[in-house]
Amino acid sequence: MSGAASVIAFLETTSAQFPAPIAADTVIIESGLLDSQALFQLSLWIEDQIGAPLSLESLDIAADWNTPEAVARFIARARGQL
Amino acid sequence: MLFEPVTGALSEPLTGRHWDAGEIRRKIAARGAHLDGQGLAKGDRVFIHYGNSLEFFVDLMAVWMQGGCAVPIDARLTAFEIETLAKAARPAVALINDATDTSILAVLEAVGAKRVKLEDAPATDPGLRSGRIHLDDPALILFTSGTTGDPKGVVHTHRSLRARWTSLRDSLGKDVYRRTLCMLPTHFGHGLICNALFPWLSGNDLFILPPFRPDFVANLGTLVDTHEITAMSSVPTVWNLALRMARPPQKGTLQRIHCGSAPLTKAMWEQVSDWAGGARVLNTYGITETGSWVAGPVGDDIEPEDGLVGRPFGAVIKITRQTEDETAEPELCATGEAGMIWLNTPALMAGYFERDDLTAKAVRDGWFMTGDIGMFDERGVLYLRGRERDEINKGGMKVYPSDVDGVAIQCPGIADACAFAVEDRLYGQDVGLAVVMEGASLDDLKAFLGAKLAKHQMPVRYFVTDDIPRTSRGKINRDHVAKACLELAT
Repeated sequence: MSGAASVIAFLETTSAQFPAPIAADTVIIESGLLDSQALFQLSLWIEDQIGAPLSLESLDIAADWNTPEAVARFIARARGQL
Repeated sequence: MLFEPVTGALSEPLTGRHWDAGEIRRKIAARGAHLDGQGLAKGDRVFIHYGNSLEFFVDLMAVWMQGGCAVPIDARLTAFEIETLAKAARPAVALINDATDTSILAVLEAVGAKRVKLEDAPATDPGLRSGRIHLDDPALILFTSGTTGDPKGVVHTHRSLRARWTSLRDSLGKDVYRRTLCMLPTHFGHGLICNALFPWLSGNDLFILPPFRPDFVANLGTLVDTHEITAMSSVPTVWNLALRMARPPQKGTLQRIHCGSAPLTKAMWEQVSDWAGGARVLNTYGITETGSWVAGPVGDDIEPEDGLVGRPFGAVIKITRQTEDETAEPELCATGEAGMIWLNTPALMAGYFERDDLTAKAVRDGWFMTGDIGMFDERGVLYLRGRERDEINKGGMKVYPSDVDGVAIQCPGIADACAFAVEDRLYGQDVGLAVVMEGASLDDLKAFLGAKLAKHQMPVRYFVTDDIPRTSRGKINRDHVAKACLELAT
């Protein structure tokens, strides 16, 4: 499963309600699609994926997590894979 | 003049829109003139079906200047819930905007509310219509429960609201609130009366965000810096998110953070203090019926502690022993002894809207029974020790279990239901529902509830059971049902 596909698979297990199937480029943050609970769950999941707490000094979720694709890139970068 | 709003400016960080005090005054007059032209009479109730915007605050003032009673409505409620509230409150006018859904418009029309989209009209009376207002007129109705049946609306008068704002200015000052951020919903007491109107009607500037936007919470430090915010209020859920995701502010403008509507732990209190880099964190206790904030940790002798509330703002607090006999005069508790918390304040509501029976139960000889359990220490500092009220506190949003199971049992194929609180890592509590099925599927039930309940009231956990036990008097013991369901599920 690609990075973006695993992000999508995870998002579908959260409390967020998506009016249509989400794609790799679906805007999930600025559109307000993710509610507080889903965003909270996503943050925990990302920490699990990168194996470390989020670094608040550099985190900008509107830029870094705005789409499943962006979240996958964020995780890969944090793992040192980019 | 009896009522002449002296406001600060309003800004929306999301849109960049900004109205200064002069423009606000002109708009109150102009939009009030439009409202007047729609035939609004003194004492009419006015639904406001939008919030957290420049227009909301100006239109609230316009309603008041015209002698109306404002009823801010949660725009997330379903058409069914709004119909329930509208049938109870019988608004003469409903203020709507472009976002108001057609199903809501239909409901408002059906109950006879005149639907008005306010615009600026030429004001014939630039001095506003403050002569229409009497201090003891109903100013505000906030519905705290019963959106699915049996609504409970807290009625505040201009007098009770002013009493709250005066006591807050005396206890907390006003200058520290000169640039206040409001990210709480404006249809509930904490957000509207204290976070927003108290600073704004003290002449301070108010920065308004849409409520429940997690991306703004995750960007809180930047927002505080960009707009040089000096004060804000919040609920613990905001900090569950912000402490995980938001970098701390760096400009040092933030001086005061209120946190209320749900318990703030010592650990979170200290983390918020650290995050805020020197801002004073006030764990603030409030109830809509008393104009919200009624006590907080003021004084140099107070350090964060679990359950610590602090000292009263413009209120007298007494704590009494629980008694089975409701007619007996309750005995006062000794220092350090936990009991029922009662409040006496000039900011007390006039009563529950057209529900004298509920008012008589809650208010005795001017004392409001909070339903909370607490104690005083030897300094006279109040601590909360629990809650008697039957409610689910979802991160500060109160969900009444009877609102949820009252709808669930109307679902065809459901024999019985009982809603209760389940633990949640983000919100502290969320909604669980035990159901006895009689032909319906869980999907049927979820679809039925989804059409009638607002999203924040929807159960997140379902427990299918054969029976929901009741007491000999036919009442449900929700704690027992919850315990049994959670034990079976683990």
